[in-house]
Amino acid sequence: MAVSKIVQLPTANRARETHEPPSIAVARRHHATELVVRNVSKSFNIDRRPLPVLQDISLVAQPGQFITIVGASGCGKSTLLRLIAGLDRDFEGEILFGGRPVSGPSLDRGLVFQDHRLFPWLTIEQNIASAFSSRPIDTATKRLLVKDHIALVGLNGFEKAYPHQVSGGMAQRAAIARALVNEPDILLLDEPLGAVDALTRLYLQEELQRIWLQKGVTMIMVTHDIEEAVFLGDQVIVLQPRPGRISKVIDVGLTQPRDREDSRILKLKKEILGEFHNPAPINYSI
Amino acid sequence: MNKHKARFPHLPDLRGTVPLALIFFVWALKGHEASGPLFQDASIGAVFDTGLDLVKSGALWENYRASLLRVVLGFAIGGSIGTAIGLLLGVSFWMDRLFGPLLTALRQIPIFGLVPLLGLWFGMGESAKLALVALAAFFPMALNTYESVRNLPTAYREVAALYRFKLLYRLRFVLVPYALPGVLTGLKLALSFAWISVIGAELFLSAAPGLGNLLEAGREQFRIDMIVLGILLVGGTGWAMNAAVTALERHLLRWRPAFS
Amino acid sequence: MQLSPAFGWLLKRLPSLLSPFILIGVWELVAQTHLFAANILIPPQQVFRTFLDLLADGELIDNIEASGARVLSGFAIGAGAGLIAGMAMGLYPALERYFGLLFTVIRQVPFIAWAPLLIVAFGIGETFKIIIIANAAFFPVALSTLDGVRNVPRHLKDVAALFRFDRLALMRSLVLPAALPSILTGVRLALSRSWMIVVAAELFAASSGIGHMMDWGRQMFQIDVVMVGVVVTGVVGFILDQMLRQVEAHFSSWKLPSR
Repeated sequence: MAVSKIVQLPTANRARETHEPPSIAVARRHHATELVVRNVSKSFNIDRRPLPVLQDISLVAQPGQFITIVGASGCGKSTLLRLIAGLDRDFEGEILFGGRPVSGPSLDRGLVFQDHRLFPWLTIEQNIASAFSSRPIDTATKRLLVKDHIALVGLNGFEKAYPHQVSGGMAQRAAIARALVNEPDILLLDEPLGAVDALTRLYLQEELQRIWLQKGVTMIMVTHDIEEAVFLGDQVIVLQPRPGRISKVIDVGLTQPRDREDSRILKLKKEILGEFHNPAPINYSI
Repeated sequence: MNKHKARFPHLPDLRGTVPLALIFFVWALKGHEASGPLFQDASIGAVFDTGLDLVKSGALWENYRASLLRVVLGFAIGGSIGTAIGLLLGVSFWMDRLFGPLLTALRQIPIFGLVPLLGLWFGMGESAKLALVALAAFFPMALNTYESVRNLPTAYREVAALYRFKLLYRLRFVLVPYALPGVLTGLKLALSFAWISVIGAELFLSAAPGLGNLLEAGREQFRIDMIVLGILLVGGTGWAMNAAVTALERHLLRWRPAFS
Repeated sequence: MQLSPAFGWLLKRLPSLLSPFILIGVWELVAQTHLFAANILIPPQQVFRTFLDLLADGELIDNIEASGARVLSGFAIGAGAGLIAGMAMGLYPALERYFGLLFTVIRQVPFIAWAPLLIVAFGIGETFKIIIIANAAFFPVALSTLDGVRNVPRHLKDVAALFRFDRLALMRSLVLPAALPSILTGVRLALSRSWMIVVAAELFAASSGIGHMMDWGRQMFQIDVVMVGVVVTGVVGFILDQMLRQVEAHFSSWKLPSR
């Protein structure tokens, strides 16, 4: 029945439970791929003058890690995510996923945008199911996976609703479900909570944390909210703008789930805030 | 502030019918006094009687059916070609670049301005009429389809890329639903233009059964009753066609948030 | 590769600039093959030559003027009435309740279907043409004015009430400017339609005007004259439309995107 209720530990090489029905096992993917970003730079051409957006970005995401990237507007964080997702292939440097260079979008790498981008003419259910459209899975498995993920993001009862009938927060949750239903090895989130109100945002942060603990998928999240970054991330990467470059990498070192009031979180927040007042660019290379 | 609703909350708002009722009464009273021996009876009774006569003799249906056939056929031809061209131009970057401005320019030519030209090309008979109707339906369909298709937001394109949608799936579940509202608006416009051009074609080109023919006959014989009958039928059919497409719209687009 | 800016601009624009030439080119080719009889398809240069002839002997200008005069009168009456009606209904909603249905009913009848009735009533002179044009110009202007007046943002009306504007001041400094973009759209549509309709009205019976010129050309089997008429009608319509779009854009420059 409930297949994905097994709490998965956020480390590599998790022992595979063997009492899954074979069809589900086919749909599952092996969560052991590492993402390596090495010396990535990118510039846009505005009026035939190059505008550097990213400069020499390097990072490594271990399987199951939750990495947050924090920075002000214009520091290229969205661009970085789009490069990792494969939506943009024009850059210098290397992006390797599972040892192979990224050359375009793939169902192994999911992306959640700031605007939910659900199709208004499909119900929540249909929107989530659209993620499967290019895969030859049988209908019964699809239905089960969709049902599971609707439960995962807490949208039970809203399967047949249209996007305009649910709140912004709920639509975003549906978008997250859509991104997760293919069981990607890594989930990229581009300011996913930027478009919701402050109260919903706090709630959704906790939901995100719960989902991550349950699924164990690697997550890279971009945000401009420092507290959010520290609350959710195992590792926080601080990006300075114009051009976007890494100025600090902080290992949070606190167990998940976390308490928002934890003084250590507040201390880290202060430290990062200081970064923005006195940036010290570090060349973080592997 | 709707004072009427405030004062009479349980009565439906029938104030709109007041001017119509007034016209009706004036017509009923004065219709018998239509000026001069040239004018046949222009009273309501006359219209009614004439209507009955025409229905009984089958002439009304013969004319009405001819017009309906023209609009259906012309719209089918012009509309389908228009949709195809609009789709092609909307989807293909190069076709858009090459022919887009041409399309927008050609639409500036008033449809009835083409009557003399079509008259020379096709003669003044049925083919010219059909060509006119088809052309009238072509442009709104082509332009609206074109606009709707090429406007597909990058946001949706990127989602389609991310989830590796296949071409057929993309067409059916992304492009078509997105473009449908615009296409339906184009459909309404095309149908309305087609209907107008049917009447115009029947008035300008050779005589043949049709509502335009009814109007023209009424004009020649100074029979206001025939003309009024014709106007009622033409207007009524136009309204019915519009209402039908609106109902279709409401059904196909039920996913849309309702507007007040 | 660095291209000079002018070349880059041209490269981008080239395909769209090409399209009218493609049309003329294909036209020329087909005409050369003599696939169609000479009275059905004539080569572009002949059309151009006839255009110059008509221009030279003043016939073209006279006809354009005649059509233009009709459009102007009909449009002025219709648009003016539409403006007043739209404003009145917008400011006094009761009026809209009474007359809205009547207008909708009249609107359902295609403009061309009114012609026989109007000809019976007024004969085949100028009057019926001007009435038809006025009728066609009335509705777009009335509807868009009504829309513009009704949609004056609520908070602006509240500010005006706070400052205790009297009716006239309210109209002048608030309603009119706020509704102007909408009104101008309606005016543009009405003018477009008026131009289209005058050509049709002239086909009924006229001794002057572009429509008359085309019909006469048809009767004389002079397809070149007809084609000149077609091109001129299209071009004039296009110019009118573009001019009004500029005016519209100019007056809408302050407009903030709604919602």
